[in-house]
Amino acid sequence: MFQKLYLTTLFLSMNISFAQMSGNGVIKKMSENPIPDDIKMNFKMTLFSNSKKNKTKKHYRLMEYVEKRYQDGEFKSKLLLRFIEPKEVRGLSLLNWSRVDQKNDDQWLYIPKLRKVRRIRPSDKSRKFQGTEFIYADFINRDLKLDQYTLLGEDIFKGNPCFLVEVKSIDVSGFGDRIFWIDKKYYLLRKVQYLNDKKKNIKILEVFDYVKNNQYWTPTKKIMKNLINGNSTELQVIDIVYDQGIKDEFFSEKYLRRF
Amino acid sequence: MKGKKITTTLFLAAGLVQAQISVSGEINPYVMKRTSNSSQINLPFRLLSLDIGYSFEKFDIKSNSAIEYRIKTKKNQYDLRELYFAFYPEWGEVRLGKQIHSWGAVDAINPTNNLNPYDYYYMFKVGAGTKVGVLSLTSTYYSDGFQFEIIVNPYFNKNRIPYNEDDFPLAPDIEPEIRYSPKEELEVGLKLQTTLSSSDISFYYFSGNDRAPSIYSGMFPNDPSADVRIDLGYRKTTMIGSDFVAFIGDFTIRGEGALYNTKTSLIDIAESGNNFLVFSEEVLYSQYVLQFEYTTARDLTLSGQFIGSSIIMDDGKWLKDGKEYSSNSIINPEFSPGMGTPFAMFTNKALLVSSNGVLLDDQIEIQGSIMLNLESSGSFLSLGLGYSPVLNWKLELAATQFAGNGKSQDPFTLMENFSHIRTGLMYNF
Repeated sequence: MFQKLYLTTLFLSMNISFAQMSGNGVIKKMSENPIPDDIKMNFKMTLFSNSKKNKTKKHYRLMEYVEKRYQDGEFKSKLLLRFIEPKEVRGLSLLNWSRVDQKNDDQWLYIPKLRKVRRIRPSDKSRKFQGTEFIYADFINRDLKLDQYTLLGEDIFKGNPCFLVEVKSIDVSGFGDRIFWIDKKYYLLRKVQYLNDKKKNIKILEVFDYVKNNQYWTPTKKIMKNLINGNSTELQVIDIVYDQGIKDEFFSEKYLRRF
Repeated sequence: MKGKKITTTLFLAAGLVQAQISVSGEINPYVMKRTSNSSQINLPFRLLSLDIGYSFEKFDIKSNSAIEYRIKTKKNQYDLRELYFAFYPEWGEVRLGKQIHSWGAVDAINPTNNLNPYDYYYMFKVGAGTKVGVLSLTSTYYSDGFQFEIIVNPYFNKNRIPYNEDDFPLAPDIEPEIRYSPKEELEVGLKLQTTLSSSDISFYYFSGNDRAPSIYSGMFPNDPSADVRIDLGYRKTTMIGSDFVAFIGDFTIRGEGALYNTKTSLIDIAESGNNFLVFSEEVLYSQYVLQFEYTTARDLTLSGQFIGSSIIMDDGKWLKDGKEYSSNSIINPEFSPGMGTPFAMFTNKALLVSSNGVLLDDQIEIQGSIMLNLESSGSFLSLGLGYSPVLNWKLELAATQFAGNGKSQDPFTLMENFSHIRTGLMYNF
């Protein structure tokens, strides 16, 4: 009897909390998941093409990703992304500085064949990332204040009960509307639907695996599907380390050139 | 003793674990055939390029070498293009050894990039591939918002010119004898780069010797049937330059310009006589490039470059026993720049429009460019296609076509017979 009463109370309190939960609340809870000060990882991106009858594995890229996040000061984050494979573009590297008060980031690209560091136009973030179905912005932390959130309801994704949150961009960065699937248990992003101006679903990101390293959740495998051309890109983390105390000087032209 | 040996072994082993050795490169055989008669163009090309690096904490050792090969003669030649040591202290970077530097904000044609001589066999390539490595000491200091670089080349270095190459129309018949070596070989380059809002701006200074020879003196016999002797040397040239990168709307604008002051050095006259004349020359000239770039939503990059050069002041005179000498039969030679971009020898004003993009998940690369001579009729068209069916392998097909104004001395006309189709294979490892 006592157990039944306890479960009923618990159920009711959960319903009340879901009913009270807003889109902003879900996103806030998601953002409260601990994030490391710095990340260093190697990942593999495999491109699948749907141009023939069967989905065929085309080729892959191996990359090194190093990011540092700042709690205060001028910068939000700094990121260095470096190609390891294909060999033809080995060493091609992108340096991104995301500032607190600026909409546009600073970006530089190092092209080994030219031996040059080129400053590139920051709005290039909305472009496809090196022929994959991801865009440059997918690798850069977006300020939560730049979007508006509305709770649409609930759904199940791969067995995980999720909140559905509509995300509308309130800046002019080129981000379209999106719908997030955020799991109720750990507040982790499980799926994203990307919509065009006509509210048509054009891309889907699915996050299949999360691994908890110490206190941090790491998405180890995710797939971006392009619903227009049928192509998809799989991103798989090969190895990852956190909080290595990476120095600020690592995110500079000096290290951009050094590989 | 045994303990010391074990400690040493462990230390070395730990060093090897922490150190990183990298080996990469490319194998790129290709054949060039003339579009006019399908005959093969027999020029050397880099069949193998090899980069070997060793990194340990704040130190790197880097090398870049190549094997040049001629298909027709089956001859090859090893070229150690770079070998340098780099140290990365907290404040910046120090490099010592044979290296290739890259100055300038615009693509391919860089008036400020004079630290290394050009390799004219590869003048239609881009980036470091067009340059000859030189022994240098380089130091770069990085600070908030700016960087300062100093480069010292202790020895004089000249362009690599294809002499007596039947298949390269601009090649001189014979390698000329250089009578006057540069008196002062030391060359110094300085660069200051800073950021203004979301733009970068750089300033350059370089003091060195011309990379190509020019006329220094001559022996002009009284007998008109006797041969005239011309003596060559390398002028001293000082360059100041600047470049910038700015973003306006969806466009990226890159600009680069350089001003050169070149003069013949005082020479030790080893001979005298009525017929021996010294040519004294001081010239101020400029080269500049303005580039507009636009990338479409489908990752097709379009760019346009306006390339120009002009002579601002030319003061050249023949001297006899230190005094100006004039004669109707001896005229001043036409000025030829010994530093700056080699494209200045084609025309003083040109427009270069190019585009490149990828298709089918990067499997197909396409590129095209056209250079138009704005001073006279003349053009250079290049189309390229790369197909990569398997990772790290690529099939290449490219066509290059020159069209001149019909005049025999016009560089575009001279290059017409160099128009060719190139087929090749590239393997990266």
